Amino acid sequence: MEYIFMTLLIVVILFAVIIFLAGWQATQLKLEKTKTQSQYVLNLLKLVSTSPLFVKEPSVYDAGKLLALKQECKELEKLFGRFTLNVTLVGQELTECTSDTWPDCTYWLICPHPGNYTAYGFPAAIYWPAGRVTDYGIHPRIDLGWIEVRWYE
Amino acid sequence: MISIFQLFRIIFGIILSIFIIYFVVSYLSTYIGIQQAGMQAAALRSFSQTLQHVYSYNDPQPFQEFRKTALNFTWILIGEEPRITVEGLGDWNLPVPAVIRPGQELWLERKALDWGWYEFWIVTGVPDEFLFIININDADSKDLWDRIEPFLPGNRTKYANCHGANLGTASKLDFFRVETGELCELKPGKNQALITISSSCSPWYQPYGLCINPNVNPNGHAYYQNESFTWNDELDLIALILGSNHQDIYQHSQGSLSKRLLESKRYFFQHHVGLAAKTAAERARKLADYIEDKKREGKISPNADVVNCVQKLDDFADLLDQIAENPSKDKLDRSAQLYDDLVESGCEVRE
Repeated sequence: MEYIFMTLLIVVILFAVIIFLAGWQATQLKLEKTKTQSQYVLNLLKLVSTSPLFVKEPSVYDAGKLLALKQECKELEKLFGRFTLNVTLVGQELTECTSDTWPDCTYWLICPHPGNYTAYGFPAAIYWPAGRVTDYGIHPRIDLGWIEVRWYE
Repeated sequence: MISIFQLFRIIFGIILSIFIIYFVVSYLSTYIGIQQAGMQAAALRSFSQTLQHVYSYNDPQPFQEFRKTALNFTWILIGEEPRITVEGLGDWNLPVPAVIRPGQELWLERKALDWGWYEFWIVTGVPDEFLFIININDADSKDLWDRIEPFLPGNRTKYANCHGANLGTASKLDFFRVETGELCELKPGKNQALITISSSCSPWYQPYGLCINPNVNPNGHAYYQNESFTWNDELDLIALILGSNHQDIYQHSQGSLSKRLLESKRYFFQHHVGLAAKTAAERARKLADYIEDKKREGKISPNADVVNCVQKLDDFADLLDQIAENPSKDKLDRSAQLYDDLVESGCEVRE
């Protein structure tokens, strides 16, 4: 009889180890998923703040390009995945940049989506190609802004 | 003499032991398999991050994690979209434009084509253990080689002779330049590729390996085994060179690696340059409208030099619209000239 009890005990221990390992693995996977998501958004931020599609030079966003990119969500999604870029000038009253308001505007919301997202933000410069126009030419201007990248699962 | 109960215990014990051993072994093998796949997936994630780093910061990097996890990848096209594929792990999207020759220890470097208003970036990659032997045998070939040499990853070209006598002294990551008055008939060994640049290259005459005709009329041509390609710029040739003399299971269904890398480069080029041209055109038009508005408001004189910018910006935007549809080399070269003119006229500030 004791052999049967012993065998049952071994089977119970074996299942307990398996359940523990599976649970541990599931926790690790959840942690890994969160880490991967954060890493993905940070990498996206890195890409967006250096790609010549968005910037005049690294971390200097071009106000003209940002306006044009508002109409190119489908193509942006193909290249960078489903994300939203929110660019806001610091310390100014909020006026959304559209074809009608540009350049007298203070924020761009590019490719907004509903749903849960992971986001990161950081300060950056905004380059206005037509900061000032005089008889002698076009004089650019640089403002301080805040960039937020949102990534959707 | 054993009793029936003892016999029952022995048989029950044997059956239970077999069951437990089978269960433990199958669980462990699955667990080890998952661990191995997990490590390979982690290596691919790390590869993705390294590509993004090289692309974003123009910081060349070695990548050796595929060696540690014994991972072999190759390049495929799903529809038109380039992906890398690993047996057992499936297909992976590339986070940035890239053309990379598969290998376990890679050298990654960013290369660019610049037209002033936009710079197209692409990550190029070459395995450490691979040698490219480039045979150049006339003046036109030499001119073309001088154009494409700066676009090669590694950029450590050495001279060698046609019979490969100098190849023994090769260190890793080398491109060998062979200049002879005649075509080199060398048959490359394992982990080597022979690339011939010669005006003699044609569908009817090809030495072993990739053969690039340097003459452009209006496009250039290149030949590899029974495939022929047209090339437009230096990056097309880099894609063809990096893909030459590679064997994998997809070459029968999808064509040679050279073909797949060339199509990948064109996919990235079309999408990135197309989008950049659309946005730059819109930006130029907004700038022109802004100058017109200021003129109407009386903030600038109607005869001011800056008013001439309006026409120039509109012409530039029209050309960019055409580039967005079809980014051909002649239009892109023309756009670089127009951009230079805009900068010199004070209508634009160079990036």
